[in-house]
Amino acid sequence: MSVAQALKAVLKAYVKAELLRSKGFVIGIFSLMLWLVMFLAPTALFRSPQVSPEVISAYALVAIAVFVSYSTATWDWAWELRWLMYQGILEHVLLSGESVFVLFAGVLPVSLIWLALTITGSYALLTSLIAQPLLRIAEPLPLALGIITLGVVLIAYALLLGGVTISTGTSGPVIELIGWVLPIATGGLTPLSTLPEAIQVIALATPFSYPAELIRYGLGLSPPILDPDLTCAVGVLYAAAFLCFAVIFFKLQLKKILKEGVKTVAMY
Amino acid sequence: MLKAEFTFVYADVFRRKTILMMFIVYPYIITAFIMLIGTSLGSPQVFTEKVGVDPVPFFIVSSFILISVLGVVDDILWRPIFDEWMGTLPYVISSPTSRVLHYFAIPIPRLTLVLISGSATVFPVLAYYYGLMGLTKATSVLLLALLSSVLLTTLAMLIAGLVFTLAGESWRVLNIIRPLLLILLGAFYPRYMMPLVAQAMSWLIPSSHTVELMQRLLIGAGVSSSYALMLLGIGIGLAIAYTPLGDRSVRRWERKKLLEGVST
Repeated sequence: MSVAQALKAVLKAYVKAELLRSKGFVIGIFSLMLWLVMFLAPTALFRSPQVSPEVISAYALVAIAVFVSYSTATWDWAWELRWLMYQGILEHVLLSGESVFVLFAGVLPVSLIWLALTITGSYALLTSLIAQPLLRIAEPLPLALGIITLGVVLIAYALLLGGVTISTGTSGPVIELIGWVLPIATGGLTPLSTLPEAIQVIALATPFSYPAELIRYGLGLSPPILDPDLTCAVGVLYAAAFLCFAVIFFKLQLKKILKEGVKTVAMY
Repeated sequence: MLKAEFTFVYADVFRRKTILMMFIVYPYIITAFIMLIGTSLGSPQVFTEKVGVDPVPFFIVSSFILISVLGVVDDILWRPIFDEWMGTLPYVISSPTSRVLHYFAIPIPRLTLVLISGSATVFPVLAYYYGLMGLTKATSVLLLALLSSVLLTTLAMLIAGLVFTLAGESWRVLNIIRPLLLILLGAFYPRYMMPLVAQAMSWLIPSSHTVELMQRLLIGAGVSSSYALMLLGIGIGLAIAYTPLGDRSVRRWERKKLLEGVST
């Protein structure tokens, strides 16, 4: 089977399973909306009357967008490998000689549709709960770089997490914990300027903080704590280096399981 | 039954210590999550003026309630699905045990984990904020959280039976019901600040009354003993009222499984 045929087959399978046949797609979005309402509704109690609700809503939307992007990378991309291993599909892919990355070509469009719908739903939710988010493109280049580097960093993160998962059989709660801590600790949810200095240092040492800072700057919400040009340059270089490292690491883990065999995984 | 449940739960806890870690770490993570977003949107002082309590102790208690209730409710809602997956459902259905006792036995081992979680989260934070008075408050919170979890048992039976009878053993549907139940519980957004319709729905949940009591105790504005007793009474009364409904609901689902057969 050629790579193109493999790509088509995988994409068709995911579209059929996730978009057409399963109600999970719709239910998943609805469920996520409810969780977001639960955690975001109390944050409205922090709002002082002097601050415009539209600005508050915009901050919340960016925080949600970053959080669900991390969630997609964790559960759709990294966890999908574990799920494939659980179902015995991963071994077939490895034996077929095809690249494992072919699988991601099928997941990616479905994930992006899910992501777009979730962000649109969050926009509607915030509009009804707080106010219409005030979104404007203040700095187009940093915004574009922020979105691109966020994608690159998350792919790298998914490869690292997926690599560790398939080689060690990491459990669900650990993955869930990482999915919560990472966006909080790296300035994904709030501008770095509002975080304590110690967390700022930690966040800047990771590649995750730069895309979120650039997106917020691009939307005119808050300036990055470093110089904007420096944030762009470091963000791009760090994202590229992180991706290279993640690809190498992932390939090493695949080699490891080819030598040692696929790990047995429990349900969670 | 209790011995079997304890063995079942603790075998898992000792095998995978991350479960225990989750019970302790999650309240802190959720509090940090809400505090970070909240402070970037406004200020803790505004929260204190509106709610009457500092946000950190408020949200550590809210997150602890969430973990306690989820630890118990999840066990009940998911157990029929796990039983089917594990192949133990035919034995459970054919057993002559009282369903009410069986479902009350399920969450009890988890309640001991709730105690550990409360000791590692609510106690230190409330002691830090309120000193010795904080320890008294934390003890009340812990006891009320245990009660809140137990009071949800019969409603969880009713929901599980209804969902599984109408929609099959669908964990996806449960994933909508769980957050909805938690929102209406009012742990994160006090129910007395909710819109009227949501308040009315919240009143139907037994534990929402004990959660309100916890929050009023935390605010420290004083809650009269008659009001406290009324909240406790309504909560316990509702839980008792749901008992026959929950039992009937579970048995109806079991009859459906007997007709359809259990998937293996």
